[in-house]
Amino acid sequence: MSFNSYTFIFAFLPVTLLGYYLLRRFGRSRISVAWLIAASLVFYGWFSPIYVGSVVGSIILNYILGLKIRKPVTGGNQKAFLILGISLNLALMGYFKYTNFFIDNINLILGSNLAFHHIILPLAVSFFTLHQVSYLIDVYRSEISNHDFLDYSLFVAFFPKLLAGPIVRYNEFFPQQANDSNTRFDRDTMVIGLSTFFIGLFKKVILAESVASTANLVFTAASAQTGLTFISAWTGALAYALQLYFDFSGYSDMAIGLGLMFGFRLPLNFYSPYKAIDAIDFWRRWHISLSRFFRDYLYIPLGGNRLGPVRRSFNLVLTMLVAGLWHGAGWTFIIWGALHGVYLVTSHAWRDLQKLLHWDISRSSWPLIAVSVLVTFMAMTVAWVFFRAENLHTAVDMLGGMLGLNGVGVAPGIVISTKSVLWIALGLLLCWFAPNSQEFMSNYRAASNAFSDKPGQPRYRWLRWRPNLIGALSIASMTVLGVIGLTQASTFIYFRF
Amino acid sequence: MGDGISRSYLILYVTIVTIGLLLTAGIVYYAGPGHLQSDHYEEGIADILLSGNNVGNPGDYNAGIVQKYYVSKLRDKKEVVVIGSSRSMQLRNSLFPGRSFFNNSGPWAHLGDLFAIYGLYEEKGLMPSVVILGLDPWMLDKSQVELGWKCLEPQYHTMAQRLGIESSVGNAGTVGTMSSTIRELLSWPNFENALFNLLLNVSYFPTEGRPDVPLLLSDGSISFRSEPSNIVEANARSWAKNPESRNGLTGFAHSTELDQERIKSLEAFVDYLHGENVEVIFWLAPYHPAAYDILRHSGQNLMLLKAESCFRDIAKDKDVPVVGSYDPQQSNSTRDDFYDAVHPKESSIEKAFSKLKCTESLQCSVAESPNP
Repeated sequence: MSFNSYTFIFAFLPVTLLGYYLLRRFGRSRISVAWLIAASLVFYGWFSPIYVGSVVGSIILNYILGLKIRKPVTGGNQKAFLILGISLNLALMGYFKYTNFFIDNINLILGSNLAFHHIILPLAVSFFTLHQVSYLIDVYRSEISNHDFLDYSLFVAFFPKLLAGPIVRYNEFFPQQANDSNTRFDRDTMVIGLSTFFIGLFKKVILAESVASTANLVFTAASAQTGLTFISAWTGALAYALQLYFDFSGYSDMAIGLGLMFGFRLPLNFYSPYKAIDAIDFWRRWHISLSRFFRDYLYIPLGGNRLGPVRRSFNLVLTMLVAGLWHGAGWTFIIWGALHGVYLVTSHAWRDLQKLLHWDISRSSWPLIAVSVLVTFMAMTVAWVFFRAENLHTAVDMLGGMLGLNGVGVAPGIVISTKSVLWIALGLLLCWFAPNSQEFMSNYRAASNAFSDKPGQPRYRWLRWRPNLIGALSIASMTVLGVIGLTQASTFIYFRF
Repeated sequence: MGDGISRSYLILYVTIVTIGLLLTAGIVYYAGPGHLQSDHYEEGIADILLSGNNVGNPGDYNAGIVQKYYVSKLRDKKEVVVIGSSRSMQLRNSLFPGRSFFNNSGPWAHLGDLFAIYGLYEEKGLMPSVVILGLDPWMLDKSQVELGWKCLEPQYHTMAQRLGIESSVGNAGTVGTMSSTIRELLSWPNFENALFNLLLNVSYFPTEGRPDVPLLLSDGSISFRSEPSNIVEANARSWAKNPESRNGLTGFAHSTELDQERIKSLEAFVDYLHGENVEVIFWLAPYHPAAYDILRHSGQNLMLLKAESCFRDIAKDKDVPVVGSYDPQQSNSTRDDFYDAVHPKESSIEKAFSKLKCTESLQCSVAESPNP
């Protein structure tokens, strides 16, 4: 069951909330944790019951490995257990995600004819693998003192973040769970959670779905090698950039809102990424919890920026290649990652140059900022082409069209309606000029961390949500549109990762 | 942090949400594509068809209601009648030159709809000489509804009684019916269309020609917009690959067996028609080669083959000619012969029907039966 389904909103969520808070009210906090774990497994099993076993098995295995890695108990074997743990997790994810990609490339290189395996990717395997790897590393680093099985199980399985994040570290999650006052029923928290949830639902079912058909139409035409024209290709690419943003940031808002309803603050995952002035800024705003994971567990251990600019560039490209491969097994994802690596290296060089010239573009006049935002957005849109395309041929056809190699006008056979163009225009206006959901709700903290692009300069003061008539009207409108949008709901894009 | 949230805010919020939902439902009820407030929209379409004109821009109409009005206002008997889903909606009058013909097919028809449409003709006492039944695989899937077009429930019950079959239609109860109506009223696509209708006052129009708009032709068939075949093929491939849309292509999302009850009811219907001296023809509309190829390698292949083989067995047993095949190769259809993954063009249909030979008294047979 998905967040954007009738079953979830009108049955699963109310029952789970009711059970959780009733147990808490009668002082059964441990049972309430077990209740939440059971509900999370039901939620997961609704999609694919056969893989509930793999999640449970993985939780048990990692919990045991965590116990082995704990320093005071096992003496000198912690590192071996850590390596074993990380290897097992990566091997499991690797088997499900990369086996056929590996076979395909072996066949291509050696001209062999190895048969593909019929493997169905368990939902959320990429996300629960990262959660558990981060747990094992944090245990090894002695950053975790609590080793309770129920607490650990909830950390991995907590349904609001189970399928597509935000990726949380154990030490962010557990203290909230241990603090009873945090998870006691509170009307304010519940209303903020519910409001954030409905903002996310509105983004997904109205904004993302309204541009999805245009993106699908154009990318399908590109896969047919139709020779897309400039206008058609850019329309499709922009539509996809917006679809992905509203889909995934909508999901993240819903997850944060749901977490809050149960008294947990999850980390921020999006902060107006299309307002970024360069690629570094973009990755501070896009899928923030994933960027943080790769920064803390890969980029910094590789040396980060401590070993000079050349090594920094290497580390950046390598980190982004791994991020690309994490998203999916295919050359399109690897190229997407490489492209982002190059973007980041270029952005660092650009910032170094600004430092040399004693100039800071983020503090300059609005036309320069606007140009930076536009250039960054176009670079990201080009990269999304690889992210969305089924194969390299499709991506090349799209890029050819975006470069105007096949003419300028609307391609024959591709009908782009006025409605589609209006939705794209509305989407761009919202991305560039409207406050994001965290800014909108900033009078009441919904996420566990904060973000400020201009500290000390609060923005959109007049547009911030307040519990008054205008506040009720805005959230109620999104609630109504979100609920009626459930009829056209599809699955979230990130569920396939 | 902001101020505390009072109870009065919650009351205000719930009130606005309630008003918003009611307002949405009201707009959809009044101007939405289902035209729930009355049957005037569909009756108007039926009137244009009866006057011998094509209907331009028919919009999102209820096919069952159009058929109900069309048949109830019909004065003369039709010699050849087609009953099926949208996959049969391209069968045109030109397949039976010189014969009076009407295509009563409509989107998402199920087995019960086929019976009910014939029931309309019987109610009117204008039984056709030939009935072409467009049979789709989902018609034998138990997880699918028996009757798609609820407005034809009375005719379905009458026919079910005559055929001696058990019907569970109408057993959904008040809750089931209410829930489906609420979903229809509180639906974003319907709301968007209703606003569009209200603002632009869009409506259908009668036409003798074939303007470049969606057209319902005077013989009941439909004219789709034709796209370049490479785009159609890419679309067909992507539909067939996506499990959600693939289920829509064939049914059988949850079943692994054909429904024996539905098989029996189809057999009973054929016997009944033969008893009424009505010639029956089975029409199996082919799938796009790219989609069929993917379906063949998916879990649904077996059900597709089973469904076709079952229809052929019934046909053999009851001496019914079968035209076409789900397999495009068997139907001699190529990638250029389709509008999309599931809807064959006239070119594909003509190839298949060229094998059908009918005598002056409309006794029909197929020259050679494909054997997939």
